[in-house]
Parts: sequence; structure tokens; C-alpha cells
Amino acid sequence: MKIAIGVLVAGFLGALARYGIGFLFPEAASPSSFPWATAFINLSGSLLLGILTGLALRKATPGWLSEVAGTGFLGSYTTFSAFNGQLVQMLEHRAYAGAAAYVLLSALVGWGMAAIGLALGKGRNTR
Amino acid sequence: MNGMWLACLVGIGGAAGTLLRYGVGRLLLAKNKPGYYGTLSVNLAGSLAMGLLIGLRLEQENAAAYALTGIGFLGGLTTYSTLNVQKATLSGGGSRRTLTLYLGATYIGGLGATALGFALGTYLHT
Repeated sequence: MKIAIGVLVAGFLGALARYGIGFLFPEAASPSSFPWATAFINLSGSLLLGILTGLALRKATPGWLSEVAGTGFLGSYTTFSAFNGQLVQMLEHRAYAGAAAYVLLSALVGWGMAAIGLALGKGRNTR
Repeated sequence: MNGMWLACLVGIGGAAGTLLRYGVGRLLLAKNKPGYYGTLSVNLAGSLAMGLLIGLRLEQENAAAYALTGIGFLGGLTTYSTLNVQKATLSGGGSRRTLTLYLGATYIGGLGATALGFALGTYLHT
């Protein structure tokens, strides 16, 4: 129950952080312009969750921390629905090259970020 | 519309979406299902709903409702960090077939669900 409350609060903060970071990037001129803010959020969140998961795998962090910071904060901070929403809008405006770049960045570079994070979290002796 | 109020709506929606995602994860864990089932189901459901909201032009017509439901709830419900970490762990130790199916279901299914929601929302809006 305590963990669920922690996840709830962390989810509030994660969504707020995502919303706030949106204002740090130049205002999107049109729905088809490249979604740099969401790309940054999803990449940084993947790196951080990789580190957290790596640490948890070698039992360097308590279980509640993975749930609150990982499932709660980083899960809420990153988003798959906005990614797909932006993708559909880019395709609707025929921004095909941008849409392809956005998929590659989020799906492949994000994958790499998570893998780097995992390796960092696990540490070099425990691989 | 007051910016602080909008941010508050985003946070409330995000907390609710996160709690639902956490609950789905716990439920599947209790049934001994692998974690990616939960991630896949919330991501596909959230993408369908996001397509619907965009098709309904909710952001343009009611910024507060969109902040609560779209940015907050659906943003909190869906996740990309867990997806990318699952890809990294599945490619490290899991089966190639599982990874391929997961990637296909997530990306093709996600885009398809969003496009479907968008088409439905656009139809209902006009």
C-alpha cells in the first residue's frame, strides 16, 4: 500500500516533469514539426531506467525504489501514446522523413540508451 | 487558462494513469505473466485513446480536458522507458522470437491503434 502511494506521487511528478520539459524546447510551429521534447524525454528516461534496472539486478537498490522511481516516475515521465500521436500527425502532414527519423531515434537510439544504462547500472565486474 | 492549473491537471491525470499501469503490472505479475504483456496492453490501449483525442481535436477545443486526459492520464498510462529497457533485456537473454513479436506488436500495433483512434475521432468530430 505504501509503495502504491509512492508510485502515485511519483507518477504525478513524472507527468509534471514531462509537461515542464515541453516548455524548455522551442514552441512547435506545427503538428508536423519534429517532436524534440518528447524525443529527449523518452531517450533520457530510457537511459535512467536502464541504470536503475541494472542496479536492481545486482541488488544494489531496494525493491521499492525500482517501483517508485522506475515504474512511477520514469514510467510516467516517458510516453508511448504521445509518440504515436505525434507520428500519426507527422504522417498526416506528409512529413515522412521526419517520421522515419523520429521512429529510429526513439526506437533504436532509445534501445541503445537503455542498453548503455543497464551496463552502467550492472557495473563492469558483474556482467 | 492559468498555467499552474493546467500543470496540476497534468499531474493528477498522470498519477491516475501511472496507478492504473502499476495495477495492470501487479495483476499480470500475480498471474505469472512476463512484464511485457502489461507494457504492451497499456501502450496499445493508450495509443488508441490518444489517436481518438487527436481526431476529436480536444487540445484545440478544450485545453484543460486535454491536459488532464491526453498529456496527463494517457502519458502516465503509457511508457517508453520500460519498453526500451525490456527490448534491451530481451535482446540480451530472451528469445529472438519473443523480441520480434514484441517489437511488431508494439510498433505496428501502436501506430495502427493510433491511426484507428484518429480516424474514429475525426469521423465523430466532423
